[in-house]
Amino acid sequence: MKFKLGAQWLEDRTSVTEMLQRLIDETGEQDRYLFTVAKDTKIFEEGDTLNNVYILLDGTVKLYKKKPYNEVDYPVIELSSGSFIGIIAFTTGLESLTSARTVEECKFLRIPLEDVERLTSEHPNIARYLDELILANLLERFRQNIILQMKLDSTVSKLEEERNELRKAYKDLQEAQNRLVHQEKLATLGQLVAGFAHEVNNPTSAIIRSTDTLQNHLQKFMVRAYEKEESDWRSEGQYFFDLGKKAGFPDTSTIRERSKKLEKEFPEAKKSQIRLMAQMQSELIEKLKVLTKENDDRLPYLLNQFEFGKMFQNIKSAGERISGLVQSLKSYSRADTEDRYEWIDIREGIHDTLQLTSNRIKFYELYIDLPEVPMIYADAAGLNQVWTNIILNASDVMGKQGSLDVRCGSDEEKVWVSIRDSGPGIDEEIINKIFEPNFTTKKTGVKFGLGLGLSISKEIVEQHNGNIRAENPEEGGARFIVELPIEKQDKQ
Amino acid sequence: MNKTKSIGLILGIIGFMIPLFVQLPGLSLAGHLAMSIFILAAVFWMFETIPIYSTSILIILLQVVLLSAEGFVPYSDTVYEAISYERFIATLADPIIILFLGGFVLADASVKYNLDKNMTRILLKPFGSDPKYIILGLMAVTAVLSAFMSNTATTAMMITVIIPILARTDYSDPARISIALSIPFAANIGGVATPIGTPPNAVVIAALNQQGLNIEFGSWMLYAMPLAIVMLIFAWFLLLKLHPPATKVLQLDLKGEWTRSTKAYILYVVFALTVLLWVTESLHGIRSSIVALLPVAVLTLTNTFEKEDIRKLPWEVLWLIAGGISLGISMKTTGLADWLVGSIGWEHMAYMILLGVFGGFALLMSNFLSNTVTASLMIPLGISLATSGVIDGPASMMLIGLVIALSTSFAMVLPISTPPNAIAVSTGVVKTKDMIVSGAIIGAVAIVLILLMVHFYWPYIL
Amino acid sequence: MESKIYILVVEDEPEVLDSIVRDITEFEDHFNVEMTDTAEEAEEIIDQILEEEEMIGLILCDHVLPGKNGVDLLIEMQNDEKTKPTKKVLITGQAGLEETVKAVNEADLKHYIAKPWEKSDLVDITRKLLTDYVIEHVKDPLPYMQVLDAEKIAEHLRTGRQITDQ
Repeated sequence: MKFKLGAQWLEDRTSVTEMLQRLIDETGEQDRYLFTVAKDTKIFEEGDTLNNVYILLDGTVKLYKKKPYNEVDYPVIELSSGSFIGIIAFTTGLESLTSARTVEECKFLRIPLEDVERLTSEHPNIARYLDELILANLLERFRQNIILQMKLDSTVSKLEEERNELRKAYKDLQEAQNRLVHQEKLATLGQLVAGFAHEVNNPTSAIIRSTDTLQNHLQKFMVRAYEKEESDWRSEGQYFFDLGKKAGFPDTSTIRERSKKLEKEFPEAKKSQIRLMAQMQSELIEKLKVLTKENDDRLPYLLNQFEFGKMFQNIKSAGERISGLVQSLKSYSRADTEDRYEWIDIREGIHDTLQLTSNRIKFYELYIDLPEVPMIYADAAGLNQVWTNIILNASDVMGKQGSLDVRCGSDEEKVWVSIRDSGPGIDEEIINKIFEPNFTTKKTGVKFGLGLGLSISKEIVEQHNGNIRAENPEEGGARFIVELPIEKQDKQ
Repeated sequence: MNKTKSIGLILGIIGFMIPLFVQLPGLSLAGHLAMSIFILAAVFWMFETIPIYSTSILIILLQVVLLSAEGFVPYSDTVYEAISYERFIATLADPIIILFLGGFVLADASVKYNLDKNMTRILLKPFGSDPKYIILGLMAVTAVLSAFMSNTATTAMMITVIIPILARTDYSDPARISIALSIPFAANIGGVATPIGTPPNAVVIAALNQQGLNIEFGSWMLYAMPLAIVMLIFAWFLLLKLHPPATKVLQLDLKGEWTRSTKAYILYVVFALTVLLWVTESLHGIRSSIVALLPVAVLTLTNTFEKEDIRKLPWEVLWLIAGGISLGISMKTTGLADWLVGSIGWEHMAYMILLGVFGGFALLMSNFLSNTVTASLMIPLGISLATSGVIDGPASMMLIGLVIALSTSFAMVLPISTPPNAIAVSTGVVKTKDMIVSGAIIGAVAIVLILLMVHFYWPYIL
Repeated sequence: MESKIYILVVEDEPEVLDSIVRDITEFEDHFNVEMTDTAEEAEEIIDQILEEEEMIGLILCDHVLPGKNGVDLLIEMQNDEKTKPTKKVLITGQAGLEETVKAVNEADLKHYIAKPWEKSDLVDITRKLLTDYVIEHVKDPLPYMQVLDAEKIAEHLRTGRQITDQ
C-alpha cells in the first residue's frame, strides 16, 4: 500500500470519496454501484457476512450494536459522508460487528466484493483511493476512540467525586443521628433522674429521720427498762452503744483471727456472740473480760447495745450513701439545670463520674490529682459523657484489676484532663481510628448504655472547641487527654 | 474413734482375756471361752465400739472358731459336747428371722406404696378435732402400725404427719409436747403387741423356741396386746396430765390418695391376707414364719417388691437378732448360763421379786443399751433360771421370757433409749427433761403392770 | 455429730456480709458459719475446711467481688469433686442474664437471691438447701432435724432406712 496523497488527504475524506466516485464514473459502471437509500433503512445487520463495500457519498449513517441480554440496539457511532461503512468486516473478512441504518436519505457507492478485485486491478487509481479512504476512516475511528476515552475518564472522576460527596453526607448524617440519639438519651436520663432523685430522696430521708428518732426512743426505753439495775449498767450500755457506732468493719480474716482468740477467752459464748465481739474495739473486750460469773447476764445486754450502735451506724451510712449517689446522679446528668452551657468546674463532673462508675472501678487503684482549675463555659452533662466513656473504656480493657490515674491542670488558655489506665495500651495501627464513629474493639459493644463511645466524646469536645487525643505513654497503659479552652467561645 | 469407743475396745479385749487366764471353779473350758465371748459382746454392745450388728456378727464368728466342733479348740476330752458350726450360722435362717423378714418386706412395701400414710389418714379420721382425742388417735394409729412395722419407721412417718400440726399450734401450747411425745411412746408400746413388732420379741421367742416352746403369732398377741392397750391408754392420760393442751381445736388436714396400681392392690391383698393368717395360726396351724414367706414370695414374684427394695431391707437388724440368738445357744450349751445363774443365791428371793429384779434390770439396761442387746444378754440367764429349777417349770420359762422381752420395750426415758425417742427429741419440740419424767413413770408403771400380769393374767391363759 | 458442716458466706461489702450472717444466725448452733470477703480468701478457707475433713454444706456468694468474681468461684467449686456437693447460691444486686445463665449451667446454681433480700426468703432457702445437703451427705441427719426441715428429714428416715430398730 502506498500513501501518496499526503496528510491533507487524510483530513478530507470527502475529497477522497469524490475522487473515487469520479474514477468509478469513468469506468462507466457507476449506475451499477451508485445507490440512493431512503431514511431509516437498514443497510446490513450485525452478524451478516458483507458481500459489498459501502462508501457513503452523502448523508448520515448510524452504526448500532446489540446489547447482550436485552437485545436492544444502541448507537455506537455516527458516520458522515466519506465514510467507509463495514470497514472492519471488509478488512478482516469476518461477520459484521454492527448494524448500519440510515439517518437521512443517503447516497452510497455499493461495490460487490468480487467487483472490488476487478476494479482495483483495472483501475489502479481506484485501488489507491480506496486505500487512502480506508486509512482515513481508520484514523477517524481512532480519533473518535481517543475522544471517547477522554470523555469516559472525566465521567469516572466526576462520579468518584459525587460518590465521595455522598459518603461524606452519609457520615455527617450518621454523626448527626448519633448526636441526636445521644442528646435524646441525655435528655431522657435527665428527666428520669430528676424524678428518680425525688422519689429516692423522700424515702431515704424518711429512713434517716426515723432512725434518728428511733435511736433516741430506744435509749430512753433502755433507761426505763433497766431502771432497777445499778446505774453503771446503763452508762456501760451507752458506752457500748456509742462505740458500736464507731466500730466499722474489720476484714474477714481479722475477724477470723480474733474469733479464734475470743473463743478461748470466752468459752461460754455462743458463736454469734463471738462474731460480734470480733468486731469490737479492744477496750470493749477488756470490759467484757472483767465480767464475772455472777453478772454474766450483762454480756448479752452489752453485746446488744454494741450491735444496736452498729446497726444504727449501718443504716445511717447506707442512707448517706444513697443520697450521695442520688446527688451525683443529679449533677452528673444536670437534671436540675435549664441551660446546657454554663460556667462549671470540670472537677465536679469528674468526681460525679467516678462516683457513678464506682461499681466498675472500685477494685482499681485510683490516683486522683485534681488541683484547682479555672471555670470554663461548657456543657457539663456532655463532658461527663466524655469522662464516662474514657473511664468505662479503660475498665473494659483492664478487666478486674488495674489502676486509674486521673489528673487535671490548666495554663493560660486551656484546661486539660488526663486519664491514664494500666491496660495494654492502644495498638499503634488503630490509635488514629479510635475516634471514628462506630469504631470498636469490643465484640458486644458498649455495655452500659450511657455513651456512644469515643466518637461522641470527640464530637462533644470539638463542640467546646477543644481537642481529645489518645497516646501510649512510656509508663504503659493508655492515656486520653482532653483539652478545653478557657475563653468563652461561640457555641452552637 | 472417740474416747468412749476406745475405752470399750480396751475393756472388751481385757474382758475377753480374763476368763482365758482366770480359772473359774465349776466352769468348763468351753464355758470359759463362752464367757470371753459374752464379756466381749457385752462390752462392745454397751460402748458401741463397733456398730452393734457387727458385734453380733463377731459373736457368730468367734463361736464358730472357738466353740464349734469344726473350730480350732479340741473338745474331745472335755465334758462339753461341741455342737456343729452349722447351728451358729443357722441362726440367720431361724424361723423368727424369716418371720421378721416377712414383716420387713410388708413394711417396706407399705412405705413404697404409701400404705402406712394412707392407713394413718383413714384411721385418724374418726378422732375429730379435739386435741385430746387427736393425741389418742395419733397414739392408737402409731401403736397399730408399729406392731407390724419397725417402731423407727413408724415414728418417722408419724413425725411427717405431726409437723404440720405442730407448726399450726401456738409455740407455748403444751399440746406441742404431748403430741411430740405421744408418737415415740406409742411406737415403743405398739412394738410389744406382736412378735414382729420389735426385735427383742424375736430374740426371746427364738430362745424359747430353742427350749422347745413354740409361741404362735396369735398367742403372743394374746399375752402382750392387753398390756400394750392398757399402757397406751395410761400413757395418753399421763401426757394429757403433764402437758394438757391449751388449744381447744386442732385441725388435721391429711391429704393423700390411695395408690391405685395393680402392684399396690397386690400389696393391699397380701398385707391383709398375711396378717389374717398370722393371727389365726391356731385355727389353721400354719406357722407364722411359714406364712411370712407368703409376702416375701408374692411381692417379689409380682415385682411389687423389686431388687432395689430387697437391697434396702434392714439386713443388719436380722444379723443383730441372729447374734443374740446365737449367743443364747452357746451360753446354754456350754453351761455358762447355768453357772452364772448358779453363782448367785437366787433361792433366797421370792418368785415375784426375782421376776421384778429381772424386769427392772432389763428396763434399766435397755434405757442405755439397745433393746435387742439387752434381751440377748438377759434371756440366756432367764432361761437358765427356769431350767435350773430356781423357778418352776416350762410356764416359768415362758413368764420370764415375756418379762424380759416386754420390759426392754418400755425403756423410753432418754433420747438414746430407742430410735423413736431420738427422732422425737431431734425435732426440737420435746426437751429431754420432759421425756425423762414421763418416760420414767411409764417404765415404772409398765413393770408393775407386767408383774401383775405374771400373777393374775398369764398363768391362766398359757 | 460426725464432722462439722460449714456455711460459707462470700461478700465484699462488710455491711452486707454482716446482714447476711445475722439473718442466718439461727443455723449457727448446728453449722459453722465462715465469712470471707474475696473469692481468693474463700478458696483458702475451703481448702482448710477440706483438710480437716469437714464438709461445706452451703455457699452464699456475692457476684461482684474484687478479683475473681462469684460465678467463677462457684464454677470452680462445681468442677472440683470435693466441693461439688456443696449447695450453691448467688446473692447479687446486678448479675446480668449472661452471667446468671452461666452460673446455672456450669455451677449447678441452686438459687439466685436478688438484693435486697427478705430475711425469710434467705432463711427458707438456706434451710431447704441445707436439708437437701444433710439428707444427701450425712449419715445421721437427726442432730440437724430441729433447725432444718424436720418433715423432709423424717420422710427421708421413713423411706431411706438410715435408722432402724435396735
